[in-house]
Amino acid sequence: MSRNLVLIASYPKSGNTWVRLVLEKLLYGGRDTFSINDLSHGFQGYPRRLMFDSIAPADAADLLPEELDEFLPLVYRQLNDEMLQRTLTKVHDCARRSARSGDWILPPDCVQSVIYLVRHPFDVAVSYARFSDITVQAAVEVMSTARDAWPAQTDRLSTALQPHIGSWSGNVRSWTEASPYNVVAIRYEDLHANPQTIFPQLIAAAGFAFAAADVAAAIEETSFDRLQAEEREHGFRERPPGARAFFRAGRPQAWREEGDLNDVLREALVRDHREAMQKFGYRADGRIDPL
Amino acid sequence: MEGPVPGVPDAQIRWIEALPDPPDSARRGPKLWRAPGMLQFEVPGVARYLICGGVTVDVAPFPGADPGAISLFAHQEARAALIHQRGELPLHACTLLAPSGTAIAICGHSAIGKSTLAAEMCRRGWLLVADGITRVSMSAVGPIAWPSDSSVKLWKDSCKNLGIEPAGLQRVRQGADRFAFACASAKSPVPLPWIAKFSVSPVAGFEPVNQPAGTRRAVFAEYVYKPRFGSAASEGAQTLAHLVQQSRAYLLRGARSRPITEIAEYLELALQ
Repeated sequence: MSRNLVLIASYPKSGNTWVRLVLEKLLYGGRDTFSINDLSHGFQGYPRRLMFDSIAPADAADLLPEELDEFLPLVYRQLNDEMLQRTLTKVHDCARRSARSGDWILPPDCVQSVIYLVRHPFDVAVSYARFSDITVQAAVEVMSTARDAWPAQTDRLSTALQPHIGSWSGNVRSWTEASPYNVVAIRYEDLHANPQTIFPQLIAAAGFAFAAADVAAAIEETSFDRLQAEEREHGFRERPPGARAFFRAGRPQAWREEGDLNDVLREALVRDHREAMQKFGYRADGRIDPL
Repeated sequence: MEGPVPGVPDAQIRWIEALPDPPDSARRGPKLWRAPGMLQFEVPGVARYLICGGVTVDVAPFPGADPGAISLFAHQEARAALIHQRGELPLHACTLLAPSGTAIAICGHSAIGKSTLAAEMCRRGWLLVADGITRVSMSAVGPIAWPSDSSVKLWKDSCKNLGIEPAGLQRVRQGADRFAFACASAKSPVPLPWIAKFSVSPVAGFEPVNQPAGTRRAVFAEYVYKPRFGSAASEGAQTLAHLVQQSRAYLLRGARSRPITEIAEYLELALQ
């Protein structure tokens, strides 16, 4: 069986959209200018619900979480079987199994590779707070929740199929420790500092082959300044209502300039995520060690 | 739950002990099997459903399954399979009858807010024809919609937004805060001269789809409910083509962005 799913996985606000933009420009953009609003949704959010409903015999809206979990591996397997080529799939969920069937939600034999992006939790906290229009303290609490999944909403139907994101370190560890996938883990900070070096490595490890000049052009075309300018001018359809901007700062260490992440909140993040932070060279003082 | 299928009065739902796995050759998707004149699917922990010849739905519940859940999938997905088998169109739409006597099918995928809008319109004196999945067939007078529901399924937050107290309402199924809200409903099939696509937009509005019939058909093609339940050359698609050709097609904007009362006012104005 062919493995057609290439996952771009991360905790939210860790560079997932940027990597998708570069890869989609290479895969589908040809020589034309590529807009942020040309970006496919990678079967995330509402498109994931629509994909599920188009494949499963029952609608996700009518299923309880455990029933949904039993269907999801089968739905992804069917999606993989019907794909004619490798397809990028955006994932903010942690790597996990169906509680009822024990199957991995994303069947490993359907997944070519996983590009896993990790970013210093201090920057994630600030970026997530701005994105979600919540306080940084609330963002830290969300990131530190010990639950395997965000609480299921049983009183409403969101457009997005409910993601199971987990805590920041739970998400990181689920993909990078003893997962059954071919995982290429990349720090956002390294990618930001050396895109022309890291992207080709990432692309090759994920099983794609592109000319070096095309990769360089795709990176140039998706520079943060350009993305911000296009969002200001034309908007970005993935920006949720209430969010001020999707492409906001992007700079590593931006948390230092914003002041909301005080000592107490930094200590809370370090306390709750120490092991995963150390594994990726993220120091408690915010500095980043080379790996 | 045994008895006639809502909206398909000459078809019957029957409870049976068990349903075996169909042959692998009939597999068409996850827990879904289809062969000429037959479709079977399973909802884990709830039931298996066998739909045959456009006239019978055999339901084999799993032990301990919630009767509300068993009924939900029988009345939605299994009914849609029946409609496909009859060569008709299961349209992913709430259909309403305005006080002026004109019916409109409001098409939309899950979570777009069709049922919430239907509840609001019914509070304004409209009649419910179908909630979620509308059976559309062709007749000598053109497309007709069949009445199938006397309540809409509302999530708790929709009840709150509409000022409806859910405490006295029946849950659609155990484990979900989703309730059946009773509405005045149509009792016989109605001509369906209007069809609208309910779309997400920051601005509410109601405007005609001024495009050639082929393009209009493409706009509405995604609202054939569960196309995998039909054959490749589904007659349902032909019914859709007739429907779009013979109906006035509109875009209803503002789903999930604008207050439901504002959207309702556009509808009232259009169909007064």
